[in-house]
Amino acid sequence: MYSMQSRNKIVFHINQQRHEISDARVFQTLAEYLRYDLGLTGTKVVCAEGDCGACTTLLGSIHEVQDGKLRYKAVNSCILPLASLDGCHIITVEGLKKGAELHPVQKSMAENFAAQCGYCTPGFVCAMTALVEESLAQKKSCITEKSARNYLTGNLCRCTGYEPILNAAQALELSQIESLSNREHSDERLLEFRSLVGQSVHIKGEGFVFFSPTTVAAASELKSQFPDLKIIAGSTDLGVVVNKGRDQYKKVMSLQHIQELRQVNRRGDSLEVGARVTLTSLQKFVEQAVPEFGNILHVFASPQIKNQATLVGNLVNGSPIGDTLPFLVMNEARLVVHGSQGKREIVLEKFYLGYKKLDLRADEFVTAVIIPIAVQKNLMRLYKVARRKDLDISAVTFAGHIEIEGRIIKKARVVFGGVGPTVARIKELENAWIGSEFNRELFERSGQKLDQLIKPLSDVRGTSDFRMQLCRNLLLKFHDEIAAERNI
Amino acid sequence: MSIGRNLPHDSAIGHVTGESIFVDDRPSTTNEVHVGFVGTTVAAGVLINVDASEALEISGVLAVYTARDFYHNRWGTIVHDQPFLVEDVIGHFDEPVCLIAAETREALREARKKVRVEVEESAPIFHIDEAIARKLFLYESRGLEKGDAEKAIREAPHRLKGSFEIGGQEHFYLESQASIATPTEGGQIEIHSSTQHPTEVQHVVAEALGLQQSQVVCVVKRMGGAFGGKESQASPFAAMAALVASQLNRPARMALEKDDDMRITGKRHPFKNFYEVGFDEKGKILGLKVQLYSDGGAYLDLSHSVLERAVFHIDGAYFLENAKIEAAVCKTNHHSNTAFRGFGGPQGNMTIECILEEIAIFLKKDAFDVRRLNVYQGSNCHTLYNQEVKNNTLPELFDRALQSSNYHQRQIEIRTLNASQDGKLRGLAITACKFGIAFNARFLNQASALVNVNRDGSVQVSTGATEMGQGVNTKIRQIVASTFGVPVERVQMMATSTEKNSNTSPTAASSGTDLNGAASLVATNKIKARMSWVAHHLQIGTSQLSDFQNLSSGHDLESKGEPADGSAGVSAELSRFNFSNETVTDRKTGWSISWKDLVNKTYMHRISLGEHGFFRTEGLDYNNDTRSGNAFKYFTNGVCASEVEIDEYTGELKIRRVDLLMDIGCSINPGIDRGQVVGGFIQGVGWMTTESLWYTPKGRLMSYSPTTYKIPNIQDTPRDFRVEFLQNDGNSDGLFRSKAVGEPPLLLSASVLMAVKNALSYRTEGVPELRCPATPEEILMELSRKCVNTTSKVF
Repeated sequence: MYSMQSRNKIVFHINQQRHEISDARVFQTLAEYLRYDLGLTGTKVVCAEGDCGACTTLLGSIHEVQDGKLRYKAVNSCILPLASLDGCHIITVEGLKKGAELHPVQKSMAENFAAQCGYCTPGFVCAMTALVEESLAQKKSCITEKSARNYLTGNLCRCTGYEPILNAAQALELSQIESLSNREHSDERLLEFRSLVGQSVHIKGEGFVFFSPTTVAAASELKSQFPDLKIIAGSTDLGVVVNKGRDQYKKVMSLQHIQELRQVNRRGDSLEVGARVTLTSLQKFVEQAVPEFGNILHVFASPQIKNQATLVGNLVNGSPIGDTLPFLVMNEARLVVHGSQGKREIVLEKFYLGYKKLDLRADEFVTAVIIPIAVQKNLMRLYKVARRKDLDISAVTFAGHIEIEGRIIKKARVVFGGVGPTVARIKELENAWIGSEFNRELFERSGQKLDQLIKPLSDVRGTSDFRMQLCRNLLLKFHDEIAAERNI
Repeated sequence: MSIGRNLPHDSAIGHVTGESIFVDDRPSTTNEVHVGFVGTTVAAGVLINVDASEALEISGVLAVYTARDFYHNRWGTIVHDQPFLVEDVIGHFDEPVCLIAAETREALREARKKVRVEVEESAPIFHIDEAIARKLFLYESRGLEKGDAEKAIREAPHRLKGSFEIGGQEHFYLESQASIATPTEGGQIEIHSSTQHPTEVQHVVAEALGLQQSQVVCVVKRMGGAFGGKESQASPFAAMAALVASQLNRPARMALEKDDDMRITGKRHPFKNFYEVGFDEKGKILGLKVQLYSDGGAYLDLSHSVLERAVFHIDGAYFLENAKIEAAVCKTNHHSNTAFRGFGGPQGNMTIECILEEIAIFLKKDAFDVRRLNVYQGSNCHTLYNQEVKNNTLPELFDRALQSSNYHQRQIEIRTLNASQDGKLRGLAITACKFGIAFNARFLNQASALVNVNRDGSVQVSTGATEMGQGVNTKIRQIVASTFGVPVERVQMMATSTEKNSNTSPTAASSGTDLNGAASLVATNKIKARMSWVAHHLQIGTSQLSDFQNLSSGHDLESKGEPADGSAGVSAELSRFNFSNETVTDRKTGWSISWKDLVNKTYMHRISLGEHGFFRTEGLDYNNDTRSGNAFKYFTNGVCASEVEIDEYTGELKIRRVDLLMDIGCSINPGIDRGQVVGGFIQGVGWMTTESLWYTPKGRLMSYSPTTYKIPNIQDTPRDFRVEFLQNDGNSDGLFRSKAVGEPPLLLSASVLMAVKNALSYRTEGVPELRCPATPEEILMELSRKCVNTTSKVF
């Protein structure tokens, strides 16, 4: 039974102060805890859904230690329950000053007119500090405009037009800055955090229960025993749903301390990605291995979200517009599922039974996704079209892949997202393409047939007419790019 | 001298450390309650019943209030037509029907779900076309007329007719509407509000509760962005918090969640403008007729003023000989639309820019040449309302932008690239702005300020201006510090409070510094005059205190006229005293005394070190009966060249390069002003490209959070973004020859939309239609509708 060696509290530090939680506050968000319980109001809440970055704080987790020190990353505190902070040191905007002295990022932001109304500023300061931490860890000599843009995509500012913020980032003299990893390091803290992670957590009270097991076996047992347990990894999805009043944290199991779920393993031509692997870690891994997929991850979400969110979480969310789905469906990715009847694998496309309906029993949970990546050597394209290039949920997503011999198509995969209740392969097109000659007319004809194959809806992201037109054009774009690449 | 220097924002340190306090950051006080609302579930109809019995059962829920609980349930800036809470007729979706007061946020959140609102639904109106057809207008403008437009159009060699649709825009100030109301004593209420218009909050709260205005104080430390969205629309939330505070006799906090704020507050007005234009072979406009229709939403709010500013900016930067402009505000079942940076000016300006682009496309001429031909120049410098465009820098701005953007060469390159048909389509356009500075409502062009010098030589300043990030306090601080000759660190900007300055105007119309800076200068100069007089007596050795007796009456010490350049205020004789480097020196004799000593001596001689300054803008002689005269003090001008690239497969848009050139006179703080220019422009770009309001067929806003409403993010700021300022010290109408800068740059975002139009013209037969915002959908659908080139790669 699950009870041995378990703690009934979580422990974390905020700006070097130790905090323990052993009651229902485990489900309180970090932002609320900071603002209402501690009076640290520098951290702002604007959207309460992880989309604006005003609530950004820095988080150093015992699970991401490098060179014996905590590495500080940007996270959205508005959707992060305290439950996820076990073994973490949080630094807020108030904790960045050293005595009376401003952190260099704060100084640079102030001097470069990067703060106007000031409401987004603490979030930007924390996000930019995370960029400094990353740059120092990589021994970079300066911050480029490109890296500043990439690191700050998760923070919205309505006043400055961002130019002064980019200037502030680029003005930083990295060689003069001591990393927070060093500055904030404490052997004692690390020692305490290390002792925590081997222990599972079990907190319960009136109307709620929280588990944080340390092995898949234990997690599996819990899920069998309590089938209504909700699973959280980064809680970037459930955190939003709860904030918007559409759900509540009542019975929750966190995967945070399960080491085996934090692995990405390469097995032959496949990647096995554990359920607690963050998108940030995954992106680093696939940028080399599958650059096209890396690009999708790049514009998919903010650094703050990617530092928390997981690929498995994105998949079990089941949204028909999940940006990672077309690629995974096209490659016939498989999910690894654990349940009371043991372990099984299921092809991703089959996993979706309808709009947000999953082939997953109550006693089961997904522990990993296996992605065959051999296909990337061939002719593949991934497209996503949204109103805004970065961090916008797509109107339509597309994944296509063909193999050609001479001018004849030998193999074809085509997947659309955003045009139906689930992301789906369009087998009719694949069949029509295989054996045909690769030419523009084929793709034009496919486009004309599309309205019999897909039925996109009209919603906030686009009308059905627009989506249909996009799908037709993406087929042509796919053809044209491959024709240009192959010179055929 | 700190004027003209790049001093950081006066709250910069507080902002970067998180120490700056916004309304909802204020610590909760004993007994404080949280206030929330419940809204309607239809856009039109009648409220039948509100059943809050279940909500009231929740532990921690204290009370539920409806329209009947207000002493006076109607408010409005001019016309009091808007209910705080729905009485019977429903104006729009999610319109508040009741308030809930609860002891905790959790209880409030639960209770909001438990209130049952019963309504009888009726057919709503959402489209401007429908309102026009049914003549449902909240306001009809008297328009503007000059020459004989009908005849000029009829006789012109060429004519075009069309319409231009512009969408609304959510302010997306990061800090949502927030107020904390505290009952003090004797029925008095103190409000901390995130408002641009503390005086209106004071007045609205007083009227809502049946108090005298003297019983209400509104304090504003700062706002987390406003952009016009907190000019009128902060008041109802302050009144709601105040109602709860007075009913329960407990402090009440109402801080909206972002989703609620976006759903219920007004936005920039959507417009649909119809036009007919006659022009010659070169593209010179000979006659123009425009009818402007805005979507005011359910209530008037500031819609009439917004519409008038649109009418007054229909000329853009261009001279019109014959024109007839008509305009009306449509009544629909949308949230009541309101002020937003530019205040109708952009919608007017964009219409003429759009017309000029279309003339160029029609004549197959370069659009720059057409614009340059029509711009105000030479003897053609009178507007439709007969104000002369003085110190006219527009021709120079156009010519310089042409050079610095390498416009002609790039147009040639674009023509070649667009012919290559590689799935990318480019366009380039230069547009201009000429933004009138002054409130259209003349009475608002007044301001007051309170300046207090303390005995240690430090200074406190409080004005009617509210700080929303734009840096008005920083500039005023520079003005006061420069005038006293002390470092800015000696001058502290205090919270805006109706207790310190009453009957103030909103901080709006780009005029915050022009008005409140001038009022501060008046007060500062009055103190300076008295201190100079003291210095004079100290120098000549007046030892008897009685010799100072007459000083406190002081009228003879102050100059009568108060010109805007700040030179006067100190009488000629006393102006020999130079205040700089914390020292006061007699220029003639070299006698000097330290600032601190003189302050202390002034006090010891019982001479006042505090002063109230008042300022009104002179020369605004516009006559509404004749619709002619000087409606504005001066104009802020600019031009902008934007180049865009469209993905022809997807309609996705990228801004390749922007060259922005503005005339903002002699800047009081170039760093602050650059922030306004860049920030305003990018905010406009969002409106032009990605910011799209989407409602369900029943009229509920679905783009109510940053997940679905896309303002520009850091990747959207153009990689190649060149911002320059024209040297111009000729604006004698401006404070220290500066120019107001808050709104004008936003108008230049029209260049992006016109560049898209320019790009589309390469593929479409005739003039491409393009509604704003130019989302990928808008662009792609226009391409697929109008594409004439059969060899084109898209359908």
